[in-house]
Amino acid sequence: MTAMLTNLFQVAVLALAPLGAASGSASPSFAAEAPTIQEAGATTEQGAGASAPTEAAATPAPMDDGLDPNRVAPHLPEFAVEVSDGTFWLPVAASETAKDVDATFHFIMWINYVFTALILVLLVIFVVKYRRRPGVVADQSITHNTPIEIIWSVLPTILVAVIFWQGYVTFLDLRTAPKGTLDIRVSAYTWGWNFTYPDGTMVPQKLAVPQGRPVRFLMSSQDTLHSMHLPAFRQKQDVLPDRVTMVWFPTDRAGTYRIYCSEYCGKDHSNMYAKLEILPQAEFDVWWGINSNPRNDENGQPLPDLAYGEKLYKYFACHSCHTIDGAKNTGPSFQLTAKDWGAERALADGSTTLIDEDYIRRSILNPQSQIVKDYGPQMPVFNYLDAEQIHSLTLFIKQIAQN
Amino acid sequence: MSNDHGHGDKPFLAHHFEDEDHQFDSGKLGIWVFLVTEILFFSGLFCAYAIYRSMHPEVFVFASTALDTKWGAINTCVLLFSSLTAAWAVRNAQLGQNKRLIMNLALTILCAFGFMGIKYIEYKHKFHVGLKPGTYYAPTDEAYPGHAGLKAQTVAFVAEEGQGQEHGAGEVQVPAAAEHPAGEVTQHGAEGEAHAKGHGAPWNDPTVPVEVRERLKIFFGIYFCMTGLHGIHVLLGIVVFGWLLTRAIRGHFTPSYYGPVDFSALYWHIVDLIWIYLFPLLYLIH
Amino acid sequence: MAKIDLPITGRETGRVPVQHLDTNYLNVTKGALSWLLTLDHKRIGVMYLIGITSAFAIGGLAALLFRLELFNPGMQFMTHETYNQFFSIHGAVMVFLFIIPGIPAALGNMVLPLMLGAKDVAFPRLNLGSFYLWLGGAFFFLWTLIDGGLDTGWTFYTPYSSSVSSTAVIQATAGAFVLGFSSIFTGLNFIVTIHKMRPPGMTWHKLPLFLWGMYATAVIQVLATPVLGITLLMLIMERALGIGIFDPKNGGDPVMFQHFFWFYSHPAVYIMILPAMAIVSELIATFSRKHIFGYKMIAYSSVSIALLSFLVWGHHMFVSGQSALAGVIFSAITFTIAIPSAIKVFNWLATLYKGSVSLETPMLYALEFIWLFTIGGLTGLFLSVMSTDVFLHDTYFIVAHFHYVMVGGTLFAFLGGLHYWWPKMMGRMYDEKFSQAASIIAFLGFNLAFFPQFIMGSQGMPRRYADYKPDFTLYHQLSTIGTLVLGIGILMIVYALLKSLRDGRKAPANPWGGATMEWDCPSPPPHFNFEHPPHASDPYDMERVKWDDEVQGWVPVPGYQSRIQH
Repeated sequence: MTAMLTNLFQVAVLALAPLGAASGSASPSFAAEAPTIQEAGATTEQGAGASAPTEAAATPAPMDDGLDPNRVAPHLPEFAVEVSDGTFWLPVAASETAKDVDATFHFIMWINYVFTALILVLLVIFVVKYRRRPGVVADQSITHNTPIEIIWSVLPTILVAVIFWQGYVTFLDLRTAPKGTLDIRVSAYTWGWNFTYPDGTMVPQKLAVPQGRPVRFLMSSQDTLHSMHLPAFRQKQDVLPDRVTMVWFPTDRAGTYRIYCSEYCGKDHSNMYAKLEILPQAEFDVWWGINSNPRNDENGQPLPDLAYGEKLYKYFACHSCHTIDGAKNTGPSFQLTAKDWGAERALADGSTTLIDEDYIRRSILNPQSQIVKDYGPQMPVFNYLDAEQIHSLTLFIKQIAQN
Repeated sequence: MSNDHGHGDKPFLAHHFEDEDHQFDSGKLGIWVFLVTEILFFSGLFCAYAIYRSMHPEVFVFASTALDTKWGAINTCVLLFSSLTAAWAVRNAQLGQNKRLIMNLALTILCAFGFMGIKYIEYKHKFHVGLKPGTYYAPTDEAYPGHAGLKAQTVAFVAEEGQGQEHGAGEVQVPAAAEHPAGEVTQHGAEGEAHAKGHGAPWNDPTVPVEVRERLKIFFGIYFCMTGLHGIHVLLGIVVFGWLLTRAIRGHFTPSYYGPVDFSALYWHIVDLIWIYLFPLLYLIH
Repeated sequence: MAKIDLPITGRETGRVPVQHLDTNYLNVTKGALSWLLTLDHKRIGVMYLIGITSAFAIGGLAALLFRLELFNPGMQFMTHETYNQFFSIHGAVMVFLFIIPGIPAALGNMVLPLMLGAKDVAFPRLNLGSFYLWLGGAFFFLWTLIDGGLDTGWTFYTPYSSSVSSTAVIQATAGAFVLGFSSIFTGLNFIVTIHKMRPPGMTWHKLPLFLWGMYATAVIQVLATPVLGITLLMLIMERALGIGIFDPKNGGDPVMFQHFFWFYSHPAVYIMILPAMAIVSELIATFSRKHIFGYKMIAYSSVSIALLSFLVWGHHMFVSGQSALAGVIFSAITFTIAIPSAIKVFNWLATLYKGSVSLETPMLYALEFIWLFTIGGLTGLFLSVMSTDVFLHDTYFIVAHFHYVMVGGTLFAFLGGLHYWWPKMMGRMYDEKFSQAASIIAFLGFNLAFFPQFIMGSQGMPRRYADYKPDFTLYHQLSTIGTLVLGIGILMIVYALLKSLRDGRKAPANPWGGATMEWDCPSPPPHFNFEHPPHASDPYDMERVKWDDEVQGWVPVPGYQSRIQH
């Protein structure tokens, strides 16, 4: 009860604050970006070492992916990229199918323009021309006109039949993947995306594909409904927990594309961006070298355990639910876990458990088995982390208390 | 106060109707429209039933063995008879036979209570053997007659002979057993239910395929929703007929004013009709 | 109750009938109980009006607040969770407490019996019951607000609503369930009233179009709402007991929820728009002083839209995982609804042609409706075409589309009807110039608020986002400013109407020159409406009334014989 009223009150008070404040900071409990706790040698998978800010809920290290970092509002998730080259109504069309869909879109738009203009013009003309004037009487005989009524029934019917057919045919194009696609498995969860390549390499929140071969996403959800939204390809498909669904797109046009989640899925639904890069083969190979093994830094050298752990904290989006400054969020703050290391922790079912390395391991591999008291069963299952990753994360969590 | 009873000598003719026929016709149309909404209300559940049964027919056939056809059949007869008495009551009202009207209304109510009584017996038994809806589903050995778990089968073979009744198996003292009922991990502590009342071990008949075992609870979810909603309608019918009975005793109904009896009987017929569909769909699938 | 000398309508005697009654249904009995236990459809209509206006205020405030949050990217004064609560509550309150009950409850209850020359609806106690069910639903929603709020969106999609959300989902769905019954009983009442209580001479083809619209709406209310009822009941069971119908973890199917939900919710949008169109038909005819063009087409199109609306729910689900075959069927049938809607718009325009048009406030709303509904309806074409819907679904394009039809359509028509029948209901005229200005301000604000949303939607901006990328900032800022202007307009509207109760000129029986039956009784009507129903004539025979300077209103022409057979 009080949460809701407090929020209402906060909102009422703060609503009086100047509207123009483009605030970069948010309330501490909302930590979409990953605060870094080390100054030197901070490496992110975006690469080159711009120095990281030291305060907790501050801006993340600027991205270095070829885009001017100042173009990207620093408070926004690092996986959402800029878009450009669109037209007034539409974003860039990155495939032939997208262009076909756009043709239908524009045709419908012209129907809209013409009919809106026609109706507006007639409305204004009639209201002016036939305005109420003394001595002028309405013509009561006009209640039917069969020829006109037929025209205005038949003409729209023809138009809608045309757009219906166009829509159906282009829909089939969107839903029919060609042969020989590069199949990437997509697993959606609250609140992120995991992309798994055919060889089993899994990269979270972003992917790159080489130019040439069309790509097919085979998608399913670990929990609730999500939706894969690829505006540049005019593609969208819901991602379901009990089924595998599919979108496909060609990779002729190199570039960086934005992926959104477009089915409401809870708290951070608006933070579930992913980044798609279509790269020429040579550049893809470079990308692969860096990204296929998260242990590698931007020079291809393996990171030491602690630094690896810190990188994984953002890589697997732990930061979206577990803060490191003690602030309460969807999951327990790692600072508390670190402080209470070696002590008993109360669980939701009334039992207690010892906070140790094995506790961290169990929480990662089977989070539903020990939900902490006062928290809910919302952690996705990270049973694909290997032993090295678990070990590095554990080190990272433990040493939070030492700082 | 605007509770206007209109036309003086006809205390039950509302002021906005021209005459009693007008009022009766309007009420008749009204109750028929309402019954259409009732059909649509239940249709969602029938739809869910149809979809799940067509996806997993073997699950439904198997789960249905846990229902006692005898009680279901008795209930069907009870409701059919009550529909007869309700229709008869309408005729009594039309003919001004107030004493018989009262008797038939009372009989209808009695039958409705009988139906609810039998439902109580059925539900009680289901809960006894752990067949509860949703996350509370935790069947024990006696849940599915003829498909008891190995342990209970052994004990029953040794200790009893010729136990044809499903209740019989429950009287065998089977030692309380494991924590987790077959195939279910729940958050609501259903683990304790099975042995807390000492009614048998959790059901884990290995001759039944795992996929079927795990889906049986869907059947019971639908079973309880459908019969539960139907039961609520029977209870509402009891209230309505109780009200009619009170008015009949006060002599409100005459050959020119019997609308409420007519309309309530129609409602009761629909409740009966819905049961007539529920019974074979739930109890008689083989 | 005092016996009142009931006014004789001018039709029969040719005398100027009684225009205004100082003792009328509003004050004939006094005290709270006389209102709370009333069986008078007019008082029930007034109580509904107060209720839905309050609900609108709550839903509107929620929208204003989250639009302020969205003025800039980044979170200024809300967290993500708070934002999710606000948009969910805005949707649920507006849909279930305001717009679905809206026109039938507040205006329909008031006007329907009067238009039929009847003393009341068929089942007055059921009518009062409907009102208390509405209050009950409102109570559940208040409980929801206090007890954790709602963050599932008004659509309650599973499995988020059944197994994940920790908000007061059960209270909110119980509220919607109770409101569903309010809607069903209102629809039932209207169907029986229109069938059984028409005055002598009013054949189906002499029924005013407002009543055709209410009838078609009532058919939908009665047939569709029970399915929502059972769906929400199953959702409550799912959440409370874990039944397993919609949650895949328990063997269920989340897409099935969507099918059940939209099976009701699509016809529901026609519950929202058919009464609105019905009002517009009345307004256009009266303020053009001309018989409505294409009466039969408009009447039949209302019923056909009502029936077809049951066959198209899947057009909300093209990307949900349903098969392409199902999609193509739903898409095709959706177009069959588009055509009758377009025909109505053309019929209204043709009614203006060679009419005698005056631009009082109700007419302003009707004309604004035509513009707004045209845009809303035409943008619906993008969404029924399967391929364009794929990339527009769940973006701001959808949000703009449905606000154009629901707010631009239903709200503006509701306001038009409210201003049209206000003199009849309350016996007062409002300040015409002020109300016209308010209408225009609201109209401009609305367009500024929602048109930019089309553009950002087609550019890819998803809906239900608490935060967004900077490339969408301009659209969001325009939209927020528009919302503020719309809010100001609405405040002005409410102010003008309330002020009229104290300062307004006493209204004549027929201030606008309508030819339907409600204008034959005084403003406000007496408790009994009519002693006997007048004999029906063509409801759009505008020449049967003429302006009378002395009463400053329109009065029946003595000895009128209709010149034209329609």
